[in-house]
Amino acid sequence: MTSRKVRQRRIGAIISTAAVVSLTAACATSATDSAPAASSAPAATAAASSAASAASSAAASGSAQACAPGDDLTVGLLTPMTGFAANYGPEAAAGLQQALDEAGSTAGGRKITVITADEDVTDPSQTLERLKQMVESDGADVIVGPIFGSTQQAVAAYLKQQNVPMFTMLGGGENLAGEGTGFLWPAADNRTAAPLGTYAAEDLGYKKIATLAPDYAYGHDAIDGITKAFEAAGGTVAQQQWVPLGTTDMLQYATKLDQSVDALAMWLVPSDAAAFIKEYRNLGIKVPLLLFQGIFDPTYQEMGDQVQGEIGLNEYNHLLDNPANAAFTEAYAAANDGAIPNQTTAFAYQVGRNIVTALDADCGDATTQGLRTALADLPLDTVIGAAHYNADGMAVSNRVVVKATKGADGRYEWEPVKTYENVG
Amino acid sequence: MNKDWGRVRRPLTIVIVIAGGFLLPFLLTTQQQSLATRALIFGMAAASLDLAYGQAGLYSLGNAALFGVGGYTVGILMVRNGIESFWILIAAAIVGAALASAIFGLIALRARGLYFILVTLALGQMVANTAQQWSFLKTSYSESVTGIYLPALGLGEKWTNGTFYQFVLVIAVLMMVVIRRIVTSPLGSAIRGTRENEVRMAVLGYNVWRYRLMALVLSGTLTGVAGALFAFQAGLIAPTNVGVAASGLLALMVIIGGSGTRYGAFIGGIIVTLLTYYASQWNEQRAPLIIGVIFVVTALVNRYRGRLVEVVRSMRHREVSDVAA
Amino acid sequence: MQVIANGLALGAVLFLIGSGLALLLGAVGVLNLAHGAVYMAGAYVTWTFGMLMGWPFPLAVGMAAVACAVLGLVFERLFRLVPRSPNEQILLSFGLIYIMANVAQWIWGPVAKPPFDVSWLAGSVQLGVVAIPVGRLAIAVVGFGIAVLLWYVQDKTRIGAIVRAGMDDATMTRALGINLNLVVVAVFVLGSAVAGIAGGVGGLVLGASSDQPMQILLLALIVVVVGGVGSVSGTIVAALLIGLLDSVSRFLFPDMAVVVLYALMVAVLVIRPTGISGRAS
Repeated sequence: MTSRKVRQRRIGAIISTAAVVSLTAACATSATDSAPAASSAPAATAAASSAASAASSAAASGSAQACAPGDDLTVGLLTPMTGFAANYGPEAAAGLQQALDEAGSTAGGRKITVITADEDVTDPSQTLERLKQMVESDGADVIVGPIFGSTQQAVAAYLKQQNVPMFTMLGGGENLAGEGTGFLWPAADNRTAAPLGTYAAEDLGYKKIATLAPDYAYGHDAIDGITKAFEAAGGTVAQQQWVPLGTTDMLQYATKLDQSVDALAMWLVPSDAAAFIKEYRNLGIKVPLLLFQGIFDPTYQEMGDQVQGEIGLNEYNHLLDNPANAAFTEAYAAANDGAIPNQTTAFAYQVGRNIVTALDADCGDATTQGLRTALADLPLDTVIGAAHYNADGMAVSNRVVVKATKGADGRYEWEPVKTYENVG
Repeated sequence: MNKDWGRVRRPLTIVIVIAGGFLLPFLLTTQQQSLATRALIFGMAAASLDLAYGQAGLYSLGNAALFGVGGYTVGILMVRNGIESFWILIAAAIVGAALASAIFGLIALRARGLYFILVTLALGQMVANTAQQWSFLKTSYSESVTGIYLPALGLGEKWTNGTFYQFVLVIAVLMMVVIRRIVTSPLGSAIRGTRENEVRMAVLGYNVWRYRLMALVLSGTLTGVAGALFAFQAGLIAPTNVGVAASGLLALMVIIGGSGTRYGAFIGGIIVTLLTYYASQWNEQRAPLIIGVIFVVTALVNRYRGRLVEVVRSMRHREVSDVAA
Repeated sequence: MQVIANGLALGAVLFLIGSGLALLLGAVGVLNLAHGAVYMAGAYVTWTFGMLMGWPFPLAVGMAAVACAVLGLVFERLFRLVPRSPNEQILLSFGLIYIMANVAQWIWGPVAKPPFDVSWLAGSVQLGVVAIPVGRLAIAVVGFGIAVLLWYVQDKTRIGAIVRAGMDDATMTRALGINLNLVVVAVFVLGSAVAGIAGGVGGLVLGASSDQPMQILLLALIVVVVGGVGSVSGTIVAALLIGLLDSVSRFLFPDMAVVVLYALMVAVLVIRPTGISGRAS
């Protein structure tokens, strides 16, 4: 019917006109419109760099007090607060807050505030949306986190585009540093576990090992570090098993193990590790384990009896004997009813301190380049001993080989056995 | 005079709504523009799902897989092969999604009734698992395709959140027009026929299976387009956007908005997107609980919905004459 | 050989998971996607009584069965309240999944519970060249017991006959004066109880986590599609087949093992759409 056709044509005309009008209007007003998608670093840089140049001589002499007051600095903490990893968020927040409290929430003349966002481990697009909000709407200058490697990789491109520094606290892929904006603590993933391989070959005299890890970036990186070091010390890797993501049944990895090896070097998330070790013990397999990261609490406290005497490698250990760690654990215990801090809290604390140190050193310059320069080879007294970041943003720090033991109070511990320096 | 006004009223409402939609960015912050764009994208995805769901009665709980095919096609081409042109990318997404839906449909249509639902669920998850395992579908260490950016239209424009929103709005309008065309065409009637009375259609000489397949392919292809737009907007695409949870959410959008209705699914998509966003703004931890309760309540209320719709319809004297016109 | 034993052990778990869903779907025609959530509830309840409160394991599993039976009753009421169409059932099921997963996180915390540690089920048994962990043997035993029970009910009892009659021709069954509604309630309760037991016993291998509603549902789906909903034997065969296939394919090509399961499902669909037991739904 003609009237319908005419109607449709009219509608089409109206719509297209409206479209053209609005698009041209939008182009005209885009300058005054909300921030464009490809904006560069926030306005705070201008104030910071002038402050930096004014106080650069003071920085060279190592005196932080000479920094002129600058704009407020916002730290965006991006960690899981919901979902299966929701424990990380509060732990990290506590550590970071403790570090900032010690520094009076000021560094390099700038007052520091913390905002948080939830890292959705299963849906990186949600995390990216929230990150964009933190950076573009809430003015985050520096990001602490994310925790998980997949999220780190997912947001790295955006942060590089915005030139916003990303301070990780539980490692990160090597590709995030260098040309990216990453500051990786305590080391890049493919270097952090190396001492375990060295210790196995040199101290334990192992000649042949097998490996077991999840089949994704972090798993591969961690094992690579171990196997490279082990082979460099003269050992051979007889078998490598990779567990696909989402696998629930660990039995087959135990039954398939080549039991002629001297040891099994492994890393799995705590609940998977517990499942695997349960099957392992059920089958009565005697091959010694080499546990990268040990096993985290609270899982360790639930199954510690199954791994007593096994060797592990810790990045952080609350029993480490150095001034920074003593002070940290004491303060944490005082504020938390005698509780013991775990690795997430300790490293969030340390990264907080690193940021404060860096800002004090360059007088509030929070750009990636400024922080890289400030931190490059700057000696740091950390909770795990002497450490520093290199010019690419990767930290070099100490590792400690540990043994699973039980404390006098009945609590399962990892007892330090040997320290390796300058790992990374 | 009354009759003319009545005829003009609906299209006029639509025009006003669309024009309003175009002007919306000027009232919103960047974040809200982003949200609005996402709402439109899922509205499109839900509306295209409804082609199979509401029209053909094929309750597919695996459409996120096709959403993902569109998104991954665009993502891989952009990030691995450096293709920037919107036109090439969307064409590739369309072709990819069409092929994938054809295969999807060929397999899924072997099952009937409630089985069909189960099969689409499993097939969708299979695609998601492939996305998670196959290294070709992962860029630079992550389990997803990252580094996607807004494509070039070849007009030398510079994107902002606001202008991209308007661009997506244009595509949404176009897609709704296309869907409407399909629904009101003889093809659409035939598809509806296979839902209403399969035996009768077969007796009349219609190849029921072929119409069902067509419905799935059309639905899947358009969902793929929505997926491509999602990849542009989000900047990345991950297996979770392709899996069971995502598919289920799409179906929920259709159901809540009203399957088989004119714009119901589209509106459902917008509602659910806004709902999930604001629920998590309100209380991150308990958001899924709130949403779950809303779903359950809606399901219970739906018992009376049929009567409600009847009442509303009888008040407006439309429907039969409209479709026939 | 070990691989085969592993596969059969896995099959036992799958049977427990799938049988409840098959029962509901086949007997009553209800698509309860929240079946996985019932499994999860069973796992968490067992954990609470068995691990947290230290009750004997079988008792803890018994509690899980009871709790889930009650849950089944509630579900039955809800499903009765909504229109019989798939739309509402899907909406309701998903809503229940969201709610239950979040409540589980709320009550038991977000971190997953590792596999249950029951002292008298530790270690493994040597059967010739093959070592089977005692826990899995226990699962297989329970699975067998339930399979026998279900088969008995289906084939030998009056209720079973009614259910089968209801599947074939509901109208006629009602016309014969049989209260089909009561039977529906019974099926819901039984199916959910079985899921609860599955969750409790399966917890020895899978632990308890709020991810399980979806995970378990997918596994149950594959079992149901491959095995069909018509009879218990179909479900048994399917579960064992899938378990074996999964175990073997993980041994041979670990990367694509997951896809193999779905490929099996696809193959079954192409060859015999109503599954092994072949009853049209």
